[in-house]
Amino acid sequence: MLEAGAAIVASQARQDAEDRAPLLQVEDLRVHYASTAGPYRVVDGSTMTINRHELFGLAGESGCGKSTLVEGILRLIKPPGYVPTGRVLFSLPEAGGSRPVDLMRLSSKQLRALRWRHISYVPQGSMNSLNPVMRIGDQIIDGMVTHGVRAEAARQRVPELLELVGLGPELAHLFPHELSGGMKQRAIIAAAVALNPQLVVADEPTTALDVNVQRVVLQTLAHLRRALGVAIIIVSHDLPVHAQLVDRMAIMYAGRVIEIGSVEAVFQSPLHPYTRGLVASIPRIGGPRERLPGIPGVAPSPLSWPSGCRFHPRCPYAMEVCRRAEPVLTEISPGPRVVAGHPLTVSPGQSTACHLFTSSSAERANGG
Amino acid sequence: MAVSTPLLELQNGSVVFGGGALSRITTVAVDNVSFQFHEQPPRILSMVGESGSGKTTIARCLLGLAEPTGGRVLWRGKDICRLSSDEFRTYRREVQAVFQDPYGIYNPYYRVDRVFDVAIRKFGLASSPAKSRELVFDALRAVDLRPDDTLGRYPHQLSGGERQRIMLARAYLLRPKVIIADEPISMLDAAVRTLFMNILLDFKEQYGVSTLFITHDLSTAYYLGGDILVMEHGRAIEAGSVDSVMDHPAHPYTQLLLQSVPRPDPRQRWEDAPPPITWRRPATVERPAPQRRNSCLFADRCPYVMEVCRQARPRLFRLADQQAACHLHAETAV
Repeated sequence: MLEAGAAIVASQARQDAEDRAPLLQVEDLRVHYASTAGPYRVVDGSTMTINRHELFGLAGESGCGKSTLVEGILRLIKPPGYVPTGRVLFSLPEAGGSRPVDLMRLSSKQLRALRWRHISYVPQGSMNSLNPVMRIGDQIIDGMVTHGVRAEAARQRVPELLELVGLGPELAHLFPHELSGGMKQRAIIAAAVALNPQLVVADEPTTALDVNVQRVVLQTLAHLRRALGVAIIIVSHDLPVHAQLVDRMAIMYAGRVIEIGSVEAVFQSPLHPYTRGLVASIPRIGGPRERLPGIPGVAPSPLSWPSGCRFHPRCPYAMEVCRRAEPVLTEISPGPRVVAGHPLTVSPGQSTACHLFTSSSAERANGG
Repeated sequence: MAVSTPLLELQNGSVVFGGGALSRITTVAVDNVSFQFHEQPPRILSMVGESGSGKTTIARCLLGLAEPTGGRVLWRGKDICRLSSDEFRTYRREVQAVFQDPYGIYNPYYRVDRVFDVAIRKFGLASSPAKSRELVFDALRAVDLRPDDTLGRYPHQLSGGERQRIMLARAYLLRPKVIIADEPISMLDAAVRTLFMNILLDFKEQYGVSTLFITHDLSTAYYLGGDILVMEHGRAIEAGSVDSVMDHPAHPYTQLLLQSVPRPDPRQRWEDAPPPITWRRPATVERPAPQRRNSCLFADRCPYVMEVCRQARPRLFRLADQQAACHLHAETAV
């Protein structure tokens, strides 16, 4: 009796350790595009960690490299694009545990075995890439069969999958043109989780949908995480989407991740001046009617990133060091502090790449 | 207020597509919509609604790019289809457009300067090259762009936000009375959106320019303030000041829209709360049957649906602070 109890405790502990181990670790990933004018350094050193069962948001303005970063992670970069450096460790489940594999080093055959079964990708606008002359159900079955499921088993799973995303089983018999945008998007998401992957990457899943449909799609993603325990990376330029959905999020600027934290931390106490500017630019219905500041200036080009911190030409707090040295994404020690005259509270696990937080001269200038 | 002739008016505007020799299916894109802009006071009117609700078709009518099949567009009291060529020129100058896609409207072979040069030449705004240059510089500064960094460049060398602001600068150059902005910020990033909307607010406050601001994003309509017109299936279903409509929306559809806007605050999540109104659409494509025109088009998904909703089209009832086309308000209408 006691022994059995101990065994359960031990297995529980193993399970907990397993749960705490990150699912995906991206380390200094770069994606460059060769051109006659020199390399376009679209993603230029991005680091982040995604945990198991986590809804993770990736935000940033258009052209900051969000989509290219996830394409890099998924090994979808085609020439003239290439990945000069970087590791992407994915914890691959195996009998009795899991083993981290570097996605950058897998052969195309190994990648193929991993895709859809362990990692699914829902690219931007994929609801418009459904085959117009094939019924929805058949398209979902087709995907499963391609990845080694027997046709009969696949067919039986379709109603269950549609149910998971809140669609009726009769939808399987319809053609894409008979569905609304939101229904197509949910059908695509159902296909993406058909083989119970550990990770789904959804690029702008709600862009181009009306607000009421957007809400349904976002709630569908939250439901999937609860029902299947799948981790989901949501790429979106729309900050309110992240506020509604994700647990943790990363903000990108000019090809680099410049802030990571829990969604509450990012919205309530953003650290990087760019994040602060972004959060301050969102109009809030019912809020005081006052002019919002926006962020003056324009985003730089991947052909010639500014020296040092890439945000320094637009940053109101730029210091000498910001022009010279590129800040590194660093976890900041939690607690209250005053930075550049702003009192703020750093939450546990909040990281940023900003000299205001890491350089000692900045700390002296602001009284530590 | 003294009754004056409105500057620009859509009077019972309707647009019906299709119904040609080969097809009996018609689509009513705009169904009897009216609103007006007066010279004084200038106002910002936000037109919101989901895709396919007829917003862009109305913009095209106001700009003279499409002709309403019913009703009229009046500029200073005259039908824009019947203006003399002189009047048409003035109308063209006083009513300016900013479109959704900042990438598609520039000719990639010309420098952006041409956008200004053509406008100055067409409308004879400058007597000398020096004067013309002064006008362009002035216009660029009004939209927060540095002339030296902007002029002489090709469209592909500018960001989407810069291109949209150049369109505003061009509008500014012509000193319009009304700007028709069709989803001008939907392709811009959060920080640049705010800058763009601030310029529209400045135009209204400093130069008396009215704006018809078409958007699907209710939070931007709230930010701009002024008035709002909610469109659904080609009909105006609620109108009033932004504050009263957003504070106490009268039409169930407006309530649905407002409750679906994602709040930018992780502490105010929908979580598992089901959408306030189940979003049921027929599985097959909706083909509006003619008889449905005599009913409320929201009836099928309305939680408060009554017998009358399927039998009579609700008119815009006048309420205390706003107007709403909903039979629920037939009794309380002023």
